[in-house]
Amino acid sequence: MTAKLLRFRRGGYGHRSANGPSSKLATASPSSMEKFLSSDIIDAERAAGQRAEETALLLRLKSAQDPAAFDALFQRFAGKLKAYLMKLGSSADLAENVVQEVMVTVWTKARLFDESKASARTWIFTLVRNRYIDLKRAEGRQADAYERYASADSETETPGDEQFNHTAGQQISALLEKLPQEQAEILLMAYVEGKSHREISAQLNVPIGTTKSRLRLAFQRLRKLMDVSE
Amino acid sequence: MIPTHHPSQAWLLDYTLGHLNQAFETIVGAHIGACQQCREDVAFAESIGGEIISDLNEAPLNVKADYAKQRFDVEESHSSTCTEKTSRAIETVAAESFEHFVETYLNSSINALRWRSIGNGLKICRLSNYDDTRLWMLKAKPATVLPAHTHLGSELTMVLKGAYFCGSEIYKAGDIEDADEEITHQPVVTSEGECICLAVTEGNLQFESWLPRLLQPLIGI
Repeated sequence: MTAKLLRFRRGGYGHRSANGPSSKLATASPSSMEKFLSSDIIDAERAAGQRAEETALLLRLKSAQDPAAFDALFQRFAGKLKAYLMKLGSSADLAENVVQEVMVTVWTKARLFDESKASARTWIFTLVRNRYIDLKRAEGRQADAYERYASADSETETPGDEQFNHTAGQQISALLEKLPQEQAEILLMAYVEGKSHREISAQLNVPIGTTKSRLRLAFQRLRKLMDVSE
Repeated sequence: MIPTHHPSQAWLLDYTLGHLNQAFETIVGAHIGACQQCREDVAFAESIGGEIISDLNEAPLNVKADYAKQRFDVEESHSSTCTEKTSRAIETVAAESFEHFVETYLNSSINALRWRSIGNGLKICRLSNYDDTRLWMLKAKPATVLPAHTHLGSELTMVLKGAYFCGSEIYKAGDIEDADEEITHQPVVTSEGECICLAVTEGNLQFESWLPRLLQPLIGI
């Protein structure tokens, strides 16, 4: 079903060194544990500051259609959204088109943003996620038609795309680095590689119950990490 | 009615990220519609998505911010009439009764459902197949004991009406029982009234005793 629309790149995650913060946590003495937790708080505060800035920008776009606020949001998110779509397996061309659509939606639908329900980055995530789901479903329905279209379509890569592809697999989310490696790996496979928990179990060759319990523990820990900032 | 049994976080994450086929999407969506706690979990999973995106290295871009702004004029006209669904935590509606569920989630009416009796106080209604995933409903008379079984893959069961026991747990309307190939279970319907469940099953059920195994090809579960 993947055709050219979703060119999944396998591997790249889960090969972190065993000396990441998560293994430090597992064997921490009380003093290094304290240090680790205080760095959590600093990171969480920094992320909270960025979230607040982004949300303020989106609110300026919502209330005043402020082009400068849009430019700033574009600057912050467009390249990251393209990276996200490419990690999900999209070609550079398609990712670029989807980013355009999503950023147009940010501009036109800003009035629907409700800061009491989500931060700007979460709202923008839901926009790109929804577009990704639409594409995946359309692809399921029209796989044959798309094959014909895709084979007629020559791929033009943006300068730097190739280099980006080569380094893409090494990128690890700062937030997920705070989780044990076995939990972070599953979240990356789900969010960034677009795999279901059933596919993840099969690929890691672990029982389905193990994947379920790792995800449960991962979300418990993430809740604590995110609470620090609220 | 507040559900007390939920699909595991793994299902909620798959729902959040759009990884479910239509059968699992239907049952998880129906539960989320009835369950504030799971809606909050989906919203939280979305916020983690926002964090993960924000942590990514940027890919090089051709497009400039101006492009999106130019397109604004073209798209503005129809943006006022359509609403953009954003969070998946709020797009479902709670079914208040079995009838309402059938109308909302199956796009049908209770009179149009075709129930087939399979003996022992049980009726089944097959709804759809997606690859090897079946969406179906089970109707059982009070106090019916279902045959013990396990599964070849995942199985989610949502109670739409009545209640059943499984081991020491009781599942009531809105609850989901989350089972898979590592779990063998034997539901027993409570004695108060009939029980109707929606189920999604991957592969055939694996019955422990010979009689249901013998009948299985005839009933198609």
